[in-house]
Amino acid sequence: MAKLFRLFGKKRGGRMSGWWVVGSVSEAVFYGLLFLLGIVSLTTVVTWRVFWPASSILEIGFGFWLMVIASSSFVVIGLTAFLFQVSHVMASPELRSAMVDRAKRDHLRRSKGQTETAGSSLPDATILKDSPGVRLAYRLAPNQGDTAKLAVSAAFAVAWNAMLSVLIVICVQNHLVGNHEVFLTVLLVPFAVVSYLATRWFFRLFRRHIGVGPTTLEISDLPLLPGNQYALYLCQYGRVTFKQLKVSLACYEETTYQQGTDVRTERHEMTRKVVLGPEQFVVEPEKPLELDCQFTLPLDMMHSFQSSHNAIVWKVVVEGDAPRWRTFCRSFPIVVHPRPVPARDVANLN
Amino acid sequence: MSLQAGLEPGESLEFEYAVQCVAPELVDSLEVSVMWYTEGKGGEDIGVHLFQRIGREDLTELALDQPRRLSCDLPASPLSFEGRLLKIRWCVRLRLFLRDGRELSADKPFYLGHLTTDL
Amino acid sequence: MDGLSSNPFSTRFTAPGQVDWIGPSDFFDVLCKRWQASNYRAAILGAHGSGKSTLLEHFVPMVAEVVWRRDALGCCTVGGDEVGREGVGCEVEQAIQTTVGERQGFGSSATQCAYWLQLRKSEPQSMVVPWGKLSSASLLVLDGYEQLNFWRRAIVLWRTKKIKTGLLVTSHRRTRLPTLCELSVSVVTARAVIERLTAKFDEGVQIKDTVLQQRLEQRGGNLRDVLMDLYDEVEQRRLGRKRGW
Repeated sequence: MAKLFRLFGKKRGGRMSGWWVVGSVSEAVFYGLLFLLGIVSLTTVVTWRVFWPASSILEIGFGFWLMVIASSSFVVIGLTAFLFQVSHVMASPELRSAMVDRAKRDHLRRSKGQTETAGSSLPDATILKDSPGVRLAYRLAPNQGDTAKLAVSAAFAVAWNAMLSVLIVICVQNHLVGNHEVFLTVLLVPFAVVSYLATRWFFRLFRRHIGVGPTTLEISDLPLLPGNQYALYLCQYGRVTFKQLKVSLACYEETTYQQGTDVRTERHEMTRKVVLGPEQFVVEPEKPLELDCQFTLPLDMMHSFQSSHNAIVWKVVVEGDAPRWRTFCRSFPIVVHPRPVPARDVANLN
Repeated sequence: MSLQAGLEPGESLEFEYAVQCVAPELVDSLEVSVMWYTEGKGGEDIGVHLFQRIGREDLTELALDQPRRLSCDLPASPLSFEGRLLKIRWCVRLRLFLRDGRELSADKPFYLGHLTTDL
Repeated sequence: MDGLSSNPFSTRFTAPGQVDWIGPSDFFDVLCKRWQASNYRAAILGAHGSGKSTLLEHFVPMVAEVVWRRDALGCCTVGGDEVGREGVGCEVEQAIQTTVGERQGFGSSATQCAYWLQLRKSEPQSMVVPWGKLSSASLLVLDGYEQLNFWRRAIVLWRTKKIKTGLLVTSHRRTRLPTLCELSVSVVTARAVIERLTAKFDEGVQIKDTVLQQRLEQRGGNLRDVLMDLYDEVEQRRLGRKRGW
């Protein structure tokens, strides 16, 4: 009870009061509703003027334009804050700051005409090195697939609910003036069902993301070289108890078929080595889980490879099994280069 | 063609080739390349490390059936690789372009590096 | 060198154009007569993996000497040599005159250059047709015609008719163009393809006709998918041998 309803209280230091999941979800709901309220009121005002221009209600004047401005501001504020809330969940503040810095550097690089090395079969590690870490040299960026689902569900839910709101307003207005559009009224039923399912889908993903929280991973050096030792630093945010959490180094073969009119990509996991865990951990909102580990790459191992249709990809994979949030898996691509040519042979080459 | 089978990155690849059983007057040009290619379930990719083309004028300097020697230093990557979906293979390829428009080619594979499959 | 034998079902050997065409001996003669009768505008129909792209690989070089082609990833080739990844900006560097009438049974119409595009909905650049290059003496080949939406198909039909350029497309469904041929894969054809692929290798694949028929049915008549499954089986068998199973 106290977690949900703390009207009066004093926050001391950096502690968070209340259950942050409820807070985040509530904030997203609030801004989502604000956005929908703006859509409904703006649609009402505009359609009333368009379809019933002779009506004395909402005549064009000060009141009309005030309503339009207020509704538009609700739409803009609600949508912006809603998307901000969703993106806040998808990335930690440090990562967002690093992404902004990286975008600036990319822009600077392009404006100077610097391009990636062409013709090499080794993936470019420059992009990975754009994000400096807090404790170790580089922060690794997670695979986009983890957050893409949340972004897609948010976009779809917002767009569908906005469309449904507009249709509801038009339908209600028609009924009020005696124009009973049965088809439109019946159509609203399946639309409302889709809206409910889309909204539920989004909030389930949203809750899962904020429950588990973002994962940040830092590494001591890039690109990796066979035979060398490296350090990893893992920081897991959220509020969850992991039955087991482990960090692995995994290698995948990826091939793209380009046959006929179909293009397919197939992936096969070649090898996986656990570098940390599996162990049980508890993560608290005010005390994120921080883990350090080291690993050594063997001398004989395949390096990263990239060509038009084929790739060998190395990733650091963080997997957790939490009773409340089910399993989660986040992967962080890395680049492994081949062993450099021995110095003796380099001298001979020269 | 004759060359060593297993080689390491940075090593010098030396090979010689000769063309036999083809009348020299039929040959328009000749290309020799040291290259890698992928093979497997996905589309084929290639990368050329050394390329030499010998045109008609240069072919007369030495008889085709006389061995010609070439050498190059091998790069650090990509290493030869035998995976399930993807294989990376190195070879020396000799391609003959005949005057009637036909092409003849021969490959001599070699292994670059000595990878194990365990991490 | 041990362990370096190829898988006979690698894409390198099964890609369109790598496998010989399997059909009646007069197949291409009949096809060319139909091609002329259709006034050089026709469609090859067939389901996924039925051999449409393979047929293009064999048929188009018969009716055009110089082929400019762009695949879905934007790779341009002229006469088989890669010239770049410029997409529509790729230029044909030389056109070689050919007299199609010199070729056996192909009629007297001479086609100088075929523009061959592999269309992919997921690659917007691949859907751009180089209209500025086409003329009454060229042939536009569209592999994956059904990937174009209704309006784009209508534009292709109208513009190619206006320019009087030849048009040859592949499609999964019927089009407004005359049908050059409709392909499907039988067990006999599948068996012949597998035998040709495995002929050069020590590693054979023993598969009964009934099992092959079942696999074709499971894959909806898609021979390409059946060959991909056989690739996996060969790799699995090799892995088992390596591990001493």
